[in-house]
Amino acid sequence: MADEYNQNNNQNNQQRKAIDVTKPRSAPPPQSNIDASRVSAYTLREQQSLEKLKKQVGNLNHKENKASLIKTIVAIILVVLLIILAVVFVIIIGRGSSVEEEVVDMRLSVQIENKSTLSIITETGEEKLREIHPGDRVPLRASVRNSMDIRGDAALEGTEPPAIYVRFKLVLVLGYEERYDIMKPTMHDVWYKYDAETEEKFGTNGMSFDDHYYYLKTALPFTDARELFSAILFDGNVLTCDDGGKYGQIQVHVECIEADINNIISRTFWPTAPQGWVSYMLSEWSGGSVSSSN
Amino acid sequence: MIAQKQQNNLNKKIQMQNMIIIALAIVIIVLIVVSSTAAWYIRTKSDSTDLILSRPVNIYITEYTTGQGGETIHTVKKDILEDYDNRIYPGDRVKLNLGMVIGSADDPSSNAFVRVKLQMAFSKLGDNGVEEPIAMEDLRDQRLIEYQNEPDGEMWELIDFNDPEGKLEKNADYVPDYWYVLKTKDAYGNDIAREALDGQTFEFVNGFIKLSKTEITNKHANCSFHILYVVEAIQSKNVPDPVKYPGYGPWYNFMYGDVEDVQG
Repeated sequence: MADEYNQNNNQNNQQRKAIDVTKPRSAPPPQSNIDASRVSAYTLREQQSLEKLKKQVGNLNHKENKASLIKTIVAIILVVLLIILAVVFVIIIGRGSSVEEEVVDMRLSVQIENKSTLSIITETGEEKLREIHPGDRVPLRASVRNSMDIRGDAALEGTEPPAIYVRFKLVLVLGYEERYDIMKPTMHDVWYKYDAETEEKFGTNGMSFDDHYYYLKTALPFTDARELFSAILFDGNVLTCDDGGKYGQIQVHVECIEADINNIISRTFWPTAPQGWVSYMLSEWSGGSVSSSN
Repeated sequence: MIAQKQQNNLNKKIQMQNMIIIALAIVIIVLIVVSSTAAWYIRTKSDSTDLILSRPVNIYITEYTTGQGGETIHTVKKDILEDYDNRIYPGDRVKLNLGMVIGSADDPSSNAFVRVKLQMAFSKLGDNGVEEPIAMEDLRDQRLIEYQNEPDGEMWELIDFNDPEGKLEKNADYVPDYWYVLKTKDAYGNDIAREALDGQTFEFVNGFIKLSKTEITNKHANCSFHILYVVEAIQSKNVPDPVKYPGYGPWYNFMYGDVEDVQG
């Protein structure tokens, strides 16, 4: 009895294995024996409208797929354009100039001197940073020049690069924080710094504020240099015990624009520049005195 | 229902595609605008150098005892007299062993000048016996302390920082600001402020203090008295010697100037 059962079972398994699942199975015969004449006209109409809706959806899908394809092509074109622009940017930045800069040929260089005053040589010959105490005056000197090289560019034949307006910012990065209040630079009276009281005399223009920049009160002709500062005082009244022991970095950022009075009056450039400086430059320009002293 | 779902999916897809195209177009337009505007006419250069700021000054209050070998053992305290009943009354004598240490193993200190003062503070007791909080400003004119054992005169110089040269007229409104300044002798035997170095300990008071009976008035009636021990350290670098140059520097509120004025 058991052998007969196993034999049948094996046969069934063999039958199951013989089924080709890749081919669609034929639809099973209708189980209902309802006469077709008994299907109502209403049901037929429903079936027809369903078929119609399917066709509509199919058409819609077709149209949308077509539109989608077009949009995809447009997007690909835009991405390619973007990549081309980015490559052009990288090439230009890598060269350190732009097409417009080459046309204008503005030149600028800056250098901090006496950096060695911030370090000491230990007895073992190792160089390490010297600790700065509150109230220390460090003889760091920095200068700017209207040339590509801080030592000056060779004289050019033909068109000379233009004079420039210069501004600079002195910042102490202390523990990831930018501090403008600690360092007091020693400088000549050729730099203009925002002062709230002075600004009041010129009326608020809604754009000027203390942007921490020092603005040069004259234009700087080609190859001329100007001292930014000759020493830095670390203000003992500002430094606190919380600042003590921290590493920092002194940064000098210098910017220039072409020395055209319209550039600063229109505030196309340096919109936050003090109104007092703009007025001063305008009065100097009206007087026709564009300094070119070194 | 399925048709509706498909339609929704299609709409979403269309919206996404539109957004991508618009975003790309905006980026390209911005790039073109930026690259063609005057922003290119600004040239920027920078230079930088590194530095390190000196360590801060750190000072800690200590109470000290004498060890079996006769050595002085300082224990850093946050609350002096924490082992005492620190509510005192006129006539009470309080034994103090107060000192200080410059820096610690975790927080080393820069070299510093040190000044110290002991004040007797008081706070009013309310009707229900609850003390009112003491404001530090209220303590400035209190001279209620009498030292039965003065701080070592060879080591501490008493200076009125409001009148370092004793020139002001001492009327009823005058408020002195007495501090003991850590001092030493220079090569010529003159008093100068002593530079306290990292890890050094100093003794300030070793003896008894009590309330000044002459300074106690009716306004101190129904008050709770407290001892206030204040130590201050200031970096010695770039600060004028407070003993040698009275009136100069931050402790005198730059009465006559700062270190460059001394040197000038």
